[in-house]
Amino acid sequence: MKGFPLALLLTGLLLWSACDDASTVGVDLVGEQGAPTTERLDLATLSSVPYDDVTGGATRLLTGDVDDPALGRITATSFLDLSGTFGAPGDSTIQEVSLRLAPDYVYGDTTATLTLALAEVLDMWDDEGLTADTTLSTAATPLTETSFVPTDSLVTLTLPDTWIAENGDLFTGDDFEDAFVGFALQSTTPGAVVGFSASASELRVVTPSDTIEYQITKTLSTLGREGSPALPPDQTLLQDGVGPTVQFDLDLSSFADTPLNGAVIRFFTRSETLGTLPPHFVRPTLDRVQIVLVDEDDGEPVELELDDEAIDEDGTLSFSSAALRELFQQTTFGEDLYDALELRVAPSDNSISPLLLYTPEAADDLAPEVLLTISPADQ
Amino acid sequence: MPTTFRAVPSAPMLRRTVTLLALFALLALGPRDATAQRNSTGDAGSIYSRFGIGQLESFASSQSEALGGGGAALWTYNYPTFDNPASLSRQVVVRAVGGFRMQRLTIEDAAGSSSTINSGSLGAVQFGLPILQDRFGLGFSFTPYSRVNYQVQTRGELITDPLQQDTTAYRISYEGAGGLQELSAGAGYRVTDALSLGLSADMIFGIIEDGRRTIFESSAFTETNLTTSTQTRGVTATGGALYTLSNVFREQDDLNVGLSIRLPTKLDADRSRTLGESLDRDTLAADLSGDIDLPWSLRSGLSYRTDNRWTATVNARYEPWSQFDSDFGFPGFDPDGASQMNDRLRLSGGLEVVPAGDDQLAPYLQRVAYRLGGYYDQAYVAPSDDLSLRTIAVTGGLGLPTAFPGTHLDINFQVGTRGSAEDDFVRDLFVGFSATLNMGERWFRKRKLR
Repeated sequence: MKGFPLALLLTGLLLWSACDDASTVGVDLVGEQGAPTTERLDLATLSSVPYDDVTGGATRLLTGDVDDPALGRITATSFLDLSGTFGAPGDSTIQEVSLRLAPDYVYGDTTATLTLALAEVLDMWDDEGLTADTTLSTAATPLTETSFVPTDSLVTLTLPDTWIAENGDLFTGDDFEDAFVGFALQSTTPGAVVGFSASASELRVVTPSDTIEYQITKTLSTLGREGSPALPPDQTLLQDGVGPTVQFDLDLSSFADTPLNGAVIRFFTRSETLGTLPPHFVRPTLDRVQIVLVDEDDGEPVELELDDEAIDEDGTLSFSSAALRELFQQTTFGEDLYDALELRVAPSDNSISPLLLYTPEAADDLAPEVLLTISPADQ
Repeated sequence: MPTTFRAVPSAPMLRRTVTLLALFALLALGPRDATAQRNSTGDAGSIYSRFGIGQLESFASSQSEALGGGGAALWTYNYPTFDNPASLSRQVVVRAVGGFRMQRLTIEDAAGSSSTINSGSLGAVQFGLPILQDRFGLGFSFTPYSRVNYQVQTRGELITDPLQQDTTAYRISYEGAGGLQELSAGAGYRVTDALSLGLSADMIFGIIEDGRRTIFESSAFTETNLTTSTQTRGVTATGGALYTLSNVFREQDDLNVGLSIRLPTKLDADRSRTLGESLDRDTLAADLSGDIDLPWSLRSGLSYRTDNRWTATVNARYEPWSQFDSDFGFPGFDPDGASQMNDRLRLSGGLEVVPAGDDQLAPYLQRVAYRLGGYYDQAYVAPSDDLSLRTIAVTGGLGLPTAFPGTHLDINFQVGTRGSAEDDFVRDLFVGFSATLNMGERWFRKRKLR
């Protein structure tokens, strides 16, 4: 009990000191030091660079031939591989094999009659990481072809009986996935590039007693451009799939060692400035864009997504992620963390949709801008 | 047979003292280092501690603290007093001292606004060791030299997007933490019955942190915490003399005159600027190295004691801080420009009475030491040439005997005011309490052997 009064005293003193009321009283002795400010700066550089998108494994197959009056001619050939199990082991009679394709994208004349040819792929392939400039070997002669308009909801390519007779055991055997290496979808008439949903398309095998669906498990779209886009002088092109993409950089040297509270990079887009489109011609534009850090680490290319944003209704594209701010903050500390910053289209949207961005040469209210919210360090 | 004596330690007492001393040391060292992070959880002090190297502390002993804070001429066998190392010669038992302090601070500005802040900190840890009883002794002390501890904030609104006129509210919290510590090892020798001389080596070291935390209402903006940290260390020495005149005015009285001088100190310092929180800080630019020159210090005093009942003391401390120099800037000091450094003058005095005197059998309340004092402190740095920063305070306390012979618990208080609530300045009104445990025991006893 002797220690009780002392313990009581100590407890009381500790409780007495346990509250606080930080306030503005006395701040005049400090002054308004370090008040944050918003600084606007222009991009130091912006350039258009070739880019072959990764189309291997995409959820959409692009096929066709379109001549955009402003952006030039783009051709697309797609490749697919299939997987499935023959569901009627006691019934090896195959009556029909057809590839049923579900269009979900069109770029070009929606009224054009397109001819689609189906050819065999000759070699085994893996779609992982394949880019739009990849070409696979195909048979010289198509197996079949069909005509359709891009607004059709289903495009069917029926394989000839001779092919069924020669390859029917592909389905009834045990090694379909090794024995069958894929088909190519080639357009033989210009007019539009059409996209087919891989998940909604299938190979249908019909026997007297059953109908078996084989799913598309590998995809690749090979894209090519002919001619150069005819662009307004103060705009640059970002186009999915076929490229080009846009590289840019900032000059943060005047913000060395400056605490950075926020960073916004803003681009302005006006795709309608590409001129009047021909009747029935559809040119889908991009609605989401990423900023990607591009670097090399021990010779290996490194790409890191910094932000992914939708384009506003008024055509403004603003990036303001924490990763972007942190990158710029580390840059102000003198670290050299990247070779380039690039605008990219989200990989899941396999298309050839374009986006026009104003360059630093545009008028002040349309040129790309960077807004940095800083807390001055030298005050 | 001749009688011989052998000095042997009292093992249980020794263990207890060492354990308590280690506990005090741990308590003192640990939280002091953590001071730099403490502001964010709400412990802060005077905004005036932002200036210079912080608010200077004065702690010679818990007895002197209650008597105004000066101890150049104050000595008793019950308290090791470190203002004057000569007093270390006058010890008869080993003493270990440790304590802590609480302060309630009310800040008022010219507009009538006020803010109340509570804070707590550990005080000094001291250790006195008589080698030759009442003739030669050693002392070790770990005390705060200065303290930086403030937190004040301002609010505003920022246009974050001039084009779209987007705005967000923000708050800037200016925070200071840390301070300098003083680690002293001293020795005092009683040259004659009247004259003692002493010398101590004093290491001054510590970290001063001034931070600025910017917080936004919108989560789209990242909070930043910019901290300027100055780490210092240096060594100096203090010499002192204590002269005692006995039976001056009456039987059993003594008049003491004390004087101590501390040499100027050159502190090696490194300054860094960091961004971020404590464990995840980015260093901005390269660390800077330089010197900080602290001025010499003169402490003098008189004390008068009679019948071991009454003790009176007056003390003065003078430090020519106008000679302060530094390669680094501090609030109130620009190495390339204006400086608001002033010479420091601290005057203090106090009176103690122990009604029972030496009578250990008297009732408890008569064995308590009752103390009252006060001090005036002309600060060494001011926020502006327009303000002469002064502190005036009343001090007092009780020295409570405990059930353990030689051990006291000192409960002290001080009530004071600092500065002036005019223009941009503020007035601090503070009420402080401290509790100090002072343990004394004989480590070596002469055991009679046959």
